Amino acid sequence: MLLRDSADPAREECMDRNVAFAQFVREQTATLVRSAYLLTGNSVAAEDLVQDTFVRLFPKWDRVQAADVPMAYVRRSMVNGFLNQRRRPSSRELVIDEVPERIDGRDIGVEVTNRDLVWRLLTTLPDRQRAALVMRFFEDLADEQIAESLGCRLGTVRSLISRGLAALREQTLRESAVNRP
Amino acid sequence: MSDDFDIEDVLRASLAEHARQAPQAAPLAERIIAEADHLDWVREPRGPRRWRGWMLPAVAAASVVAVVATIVGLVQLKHSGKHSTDAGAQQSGRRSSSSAPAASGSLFATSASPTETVPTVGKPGGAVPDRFRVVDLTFVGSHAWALGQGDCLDGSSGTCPAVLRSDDDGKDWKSTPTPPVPVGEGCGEAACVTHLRFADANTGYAFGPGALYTTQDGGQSWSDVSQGDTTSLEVANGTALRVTADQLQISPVGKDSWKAATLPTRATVRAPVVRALSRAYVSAADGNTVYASTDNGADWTARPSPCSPAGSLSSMTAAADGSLVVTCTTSASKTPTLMVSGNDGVSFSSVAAPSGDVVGSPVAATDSSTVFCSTPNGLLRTTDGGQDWQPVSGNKTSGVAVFLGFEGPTTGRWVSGDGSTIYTTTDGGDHWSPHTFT
Repeated sequence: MLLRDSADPAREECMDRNVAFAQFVREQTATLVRSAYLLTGNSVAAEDLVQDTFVRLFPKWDRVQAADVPMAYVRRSMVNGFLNQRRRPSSRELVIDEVPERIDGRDIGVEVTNRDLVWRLLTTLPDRQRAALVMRFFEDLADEQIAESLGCRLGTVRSLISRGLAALREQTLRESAVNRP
Repeated sequence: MSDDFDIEDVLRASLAEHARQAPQAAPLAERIIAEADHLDWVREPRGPRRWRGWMLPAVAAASVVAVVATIVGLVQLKHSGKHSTDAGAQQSGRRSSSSAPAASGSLFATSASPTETVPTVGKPGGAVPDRFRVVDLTFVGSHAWALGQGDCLDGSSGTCPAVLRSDDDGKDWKSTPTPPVPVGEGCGEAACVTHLRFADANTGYAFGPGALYTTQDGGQSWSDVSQGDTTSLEVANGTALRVTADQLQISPVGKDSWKAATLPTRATVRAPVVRALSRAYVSAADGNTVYASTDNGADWTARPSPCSPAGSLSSMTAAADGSLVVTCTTSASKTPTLMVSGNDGVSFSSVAAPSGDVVGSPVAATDSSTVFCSTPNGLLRTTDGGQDWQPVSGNKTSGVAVFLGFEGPTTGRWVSGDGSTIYTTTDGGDHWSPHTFT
């Protein structure tokens, strides 16, 4: 008889896990895709990053569920995916929403707001600095949580954030000076 | 910018502002779940190793169908003797819990949120509200339900939502409980019901923007599925298909167990999904593609839009025999083009629309050669590819029909523009008998 026994414990366990996965995806995708957008800077790459993360974690979802904070586990995987993808040369050929303007001052008009200027400058930072800044200033994560996500020490996190902010501040002032009438 | 600006504040504001430009989460979540579902089917061991690889999906599919059929049977058996409502709960507004639906064949086939029976408005078998006006209509055999608005039965001023039920093919109507949300297109509320669909005498759906309610007792009680917008939903042959957040989902009828339909990867769609017999059709969000299913929504094939330009596809309807009628509308013309396919969207023939401003007019068909169109001049029918449109129902009312559809090759309904009258034909549209709500 080919009919699968619906009371099969293995089958039930599998379904429970899959239902939990679907529930987590529905509840957390909004949060993750916002962070992914801030990391990647464009919609297509953000969707790919979130989808790739979940598809990669799905086979080991039991492990995710067993984590103290499943969301932290998923976030760490997503950030790693972002960093690993950016290390590959082909990742530089991602389709993006719009061609970024050159950050040389000449292409940024005086009408550009400070926030847009900072956003554009953010794209020029090294990936780990950018990820650390997004986690600190968008997700409001503590240094310990950022360290866990990046897989580095606390001191490294503080250094990434400090250097990232300094670079943003310096470049913002420089660009503003160039565009000042 | 002054040198003493706070880079942290600017960065926070910048990130918050740009995060709002992130892609929509709901469609992405459904795509992820569908992708994982697919992976699970591929990798899950299905039987002894001696089986050939091609047998695995076949056996898996057969198993799922059998499990679904078994569960559907059990649940229907369970509900067959349960027709009483928790009147006390309804009157006091207290929520009474109901059991969550059983799991079905999908690996993701259980709702993330439990359904609850909601307090409803009105009682079964109650009087028909004065000035009741139909918003939507659904017939299953001799059973019918009409969604609409009418004078409030509790004597308060204004209009109130109402659902009516008939068990004699629309001759006599009684009011029945209504989900506790506004009714009608453009209701402007966070959640409202705009349509009703029933699969049989007991199992039905009330849905609309931000709303999806189900009933297992013919509309005497309703459960809030709470799964977001449902812009289109159709039921037939044991499956329900719905469009939500640009995604097409499928569930066994009566179950709150929606999963993404097996459309091509990352396909987004737009309402409506239309069905007849085992056929189902839905268009891509950009109008360039028509997805067709011949097995009640289990499998889908992509067909190019018959419209020119392709993106001018504006709506679709399924004829009673499973043929597809596509309406193509361009901004430059007040007269749409109708494209009819009798072979599941493989090829189309053109049908000239009635003259005049009929953009947006409801269209129905009994087969690929007999098409109906509701116009301000009444209901018209063509049997010669649109060369000649003849009035088949002389009653002229304000505006085009609120509803127009055929349940079979000879039985059809349309509702007058003001929602006051339901017309029924049982001879393919030659004669129509009215039922008017006063």
